[in-house]
Amino acid sequence: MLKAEETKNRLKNLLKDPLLLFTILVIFASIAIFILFPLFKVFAVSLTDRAGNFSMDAYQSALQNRYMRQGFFNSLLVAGLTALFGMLVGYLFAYTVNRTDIPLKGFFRTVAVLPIVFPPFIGALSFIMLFGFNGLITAGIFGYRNFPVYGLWGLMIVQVVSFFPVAFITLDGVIGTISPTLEDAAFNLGANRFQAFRKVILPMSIPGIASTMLVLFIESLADFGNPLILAGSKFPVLSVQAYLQITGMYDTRGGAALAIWLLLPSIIVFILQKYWVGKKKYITVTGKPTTSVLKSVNKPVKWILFAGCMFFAVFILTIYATIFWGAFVKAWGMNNTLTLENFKYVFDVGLGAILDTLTIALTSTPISALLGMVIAFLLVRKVFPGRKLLEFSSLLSFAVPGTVIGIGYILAFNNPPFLLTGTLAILVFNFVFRYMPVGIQSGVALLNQVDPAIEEAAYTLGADNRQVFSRVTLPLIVPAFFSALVFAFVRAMTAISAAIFLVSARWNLVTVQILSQSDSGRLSEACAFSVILIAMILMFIFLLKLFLKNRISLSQNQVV
Amino acid sequence: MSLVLNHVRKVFSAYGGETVAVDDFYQEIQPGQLVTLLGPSGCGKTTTLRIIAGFEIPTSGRVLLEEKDVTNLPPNRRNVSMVFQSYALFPHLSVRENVAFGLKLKKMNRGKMQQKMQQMVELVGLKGLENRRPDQLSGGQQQRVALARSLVMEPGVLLFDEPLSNLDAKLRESMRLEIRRIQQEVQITSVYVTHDQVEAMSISDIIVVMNQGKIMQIGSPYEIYARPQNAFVADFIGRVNFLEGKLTSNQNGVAHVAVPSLDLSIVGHCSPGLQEGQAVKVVLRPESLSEEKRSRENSLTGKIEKFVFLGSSVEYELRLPDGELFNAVTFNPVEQKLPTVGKDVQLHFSTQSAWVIPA
Repeated sequence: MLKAEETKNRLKNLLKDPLLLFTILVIFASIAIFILFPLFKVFAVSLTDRAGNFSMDAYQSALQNRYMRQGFFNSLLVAGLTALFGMLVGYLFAYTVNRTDIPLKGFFRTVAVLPIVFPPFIGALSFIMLFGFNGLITAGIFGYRNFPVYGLWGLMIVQVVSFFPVAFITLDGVIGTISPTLEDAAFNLGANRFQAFRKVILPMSIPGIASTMLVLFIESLADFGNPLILAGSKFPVLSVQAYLQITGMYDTRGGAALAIWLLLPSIIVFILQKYWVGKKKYITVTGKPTTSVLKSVNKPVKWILFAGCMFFAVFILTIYATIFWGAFVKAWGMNNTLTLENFKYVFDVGLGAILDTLTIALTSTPISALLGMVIAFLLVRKVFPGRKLLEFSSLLSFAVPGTVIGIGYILAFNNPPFLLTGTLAILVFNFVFRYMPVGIQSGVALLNQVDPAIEEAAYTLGADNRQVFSRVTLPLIVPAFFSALVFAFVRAMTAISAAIFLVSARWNLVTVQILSQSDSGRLSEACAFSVILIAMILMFIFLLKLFLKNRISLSQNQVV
Repeated sequence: MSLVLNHVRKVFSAYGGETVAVDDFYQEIQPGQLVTLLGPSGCGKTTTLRIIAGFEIPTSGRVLLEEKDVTNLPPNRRNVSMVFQSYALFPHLSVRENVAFGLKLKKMNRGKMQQKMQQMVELVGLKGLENRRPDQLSGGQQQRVALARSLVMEPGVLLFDEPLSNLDAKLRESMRLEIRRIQQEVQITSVYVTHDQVEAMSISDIIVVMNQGKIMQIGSPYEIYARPQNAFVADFIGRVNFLEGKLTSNQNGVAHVAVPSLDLSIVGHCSPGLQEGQAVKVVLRPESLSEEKRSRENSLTGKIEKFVFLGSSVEYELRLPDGELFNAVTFNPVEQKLPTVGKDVQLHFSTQSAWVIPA
């Protein structure tokens, strides 16, 4: 009875604020249309036959096909290995820069986040140029042409390079906040250095390690560009098979069924990460500043760690340097004379794609970041029916592999009332809703640290919801907004897995160009495209930083 | 502006259970009054304040501002302003911009805004600091900005949510005098939440003592301290001794109480409604007892267990014949001799200071 009156009062209040009500409804509607509806379509199509009746045929034929079954296990295998090794490399960097006094720390930190701004599959391209049939190192130096770049190990190594920054940033945060005084306490109680590491630092970083591995697992599973270049026909993986099923065999049902197989492990791991591991954190941040000299490792170990970091740093830099070099030579591996012809070719053939890519990225980025902030504000500060559902579904698109989303979009937006195929809008919507979760998460994290009384004060001074958001909340979470902006821009510029289904003759992307160039063996041209792409990304970050006077750092633009 | 809380009730449901945060709160607040909600943490005082502000929606009951029902109005349309424990200044705005924040939303013209802002900054004693950012101010200065920011809106009711608890003890004392001075100067109806009884005593017209969501007593600081209606209020405000007994007679508020455990008969005061034969407690404040007899009608004896010399006073702990402990305090000890532990003393107290409440 009493509760009923309170609910009535609450609803009355919501109705008195039409803007808030409207915003919530629009957000729910757009999440339903642009995240849930495509997923539903994938399920629906995979479960019907040609006549439109319910049928498990698509799953059955996928199961019967040994090649498809192999793809499923291969995907999980690569994802598992990438998660393990990516975490290890990330931990090596994070531990070394936080717990030793080695020189060149700034250099290592930069190298460890560098792969974020590069299109992920550039690693694969470069890997072939270094170790492939005409590889600079294998063939050029050692004269060995059959180095096994294609398949499990090649793919895994490239994915580790592409995705370990995620591990580094998370673990850097974890290890960086473990107070050195805890180690002091362990030493004081008689532990040696190894015991202090094993009994204090390692157990305290377990939640970070687990969370990192799950995120890497999702990233690797969803990866499309690297396996397309590197997996090869002997090592099928799901994301590529689903794509080939649709674009090569015109079998939408089979593609959708494979997409579901790809989706399920991702969702399971995502839920594990969010609701199980994500909750376990050791808070060691206290008000007192802790000053302690770093003494976690002895001299030999310190230099071993330094050597390990240096090895990976050089490897990573070589990978990216190869791209730059490749862009300026005539024909990689055969004619290494320097030239600018590749760039001339890029501007002749690909100017349209470059401009399209910029247009799409610059349109989707601000919408994505702003929407992320609005949703973060609603999630943290407002009570309304369906809040949990909104949180889950808006973060969901982080867990859904791009391939699945791409297939979902072509299935969902091919017919009226949502006929969007071939338009700019379909790409923009796709990017907005795929890259929004990072904005939401960093917005939520930052807003949780902001005293709610500050916004309440604004209300009591006469501000309505819109004014509170624009005059108080947004200025307070502006770092999250700009890191969301950078993240969304970088991702939009380097996107491939979903986008490859959505590009058309009218709207094309540089990433798709890079793939098709390298597919037809024009490696130097692919490199030139990559260099242009990287230049645009760096230019955007540079301009934004200039604008913000260095108010945010690259390491902030990650999942918190 | 007058403020009425008409049988307000707030129930929170959490973890399957329900907690009554505020239970049947009724109070009329007259224009210009400063009413303090006082009670231990979790007593519902902050929830009540947030219901007035509009941040919480009552489960039942109404909030009336100047006889207008505002229960369903959002905070920004209530003409109620709030000063927060954490100051809650806008960190990205200067002092000037903080104070002008609400005026700007009202679209006040620039000249008038400037003038009001200046006037308010002077009232709270922040002249010359207008261009500072909040993080360049001390805690006390920040709270002055918060006060100015609220006052400049000329709200119908000003709410204070433990505004001084983040300040150090000295500053707290001077700030509460300052708040009272400004409140009386602008004659603004105020509701003030605190758990600090000294703070409540020193600034309030009316104190509402709350416990577990319920109002325990409403009264002036004097009434609350000297004439508590129940053991909770007596115990929560100041230090107290209770003697348990039976009311033998009540003649228009003059009470005779038999205390069998000490074989005493005490003459005190009580509310006229107390029934003869009822079980009662005699409320005795430590400072009402003295070794000097003069015109004090009542007395009791006890053995000194220990004492603490505090400079301006000495606090005793006595063991009464029935084994109970009893607190007493004497002032200006330098003039007298310090007590001796283990010694029996006889202490006297007057009829006025023996207040009898129902047990």
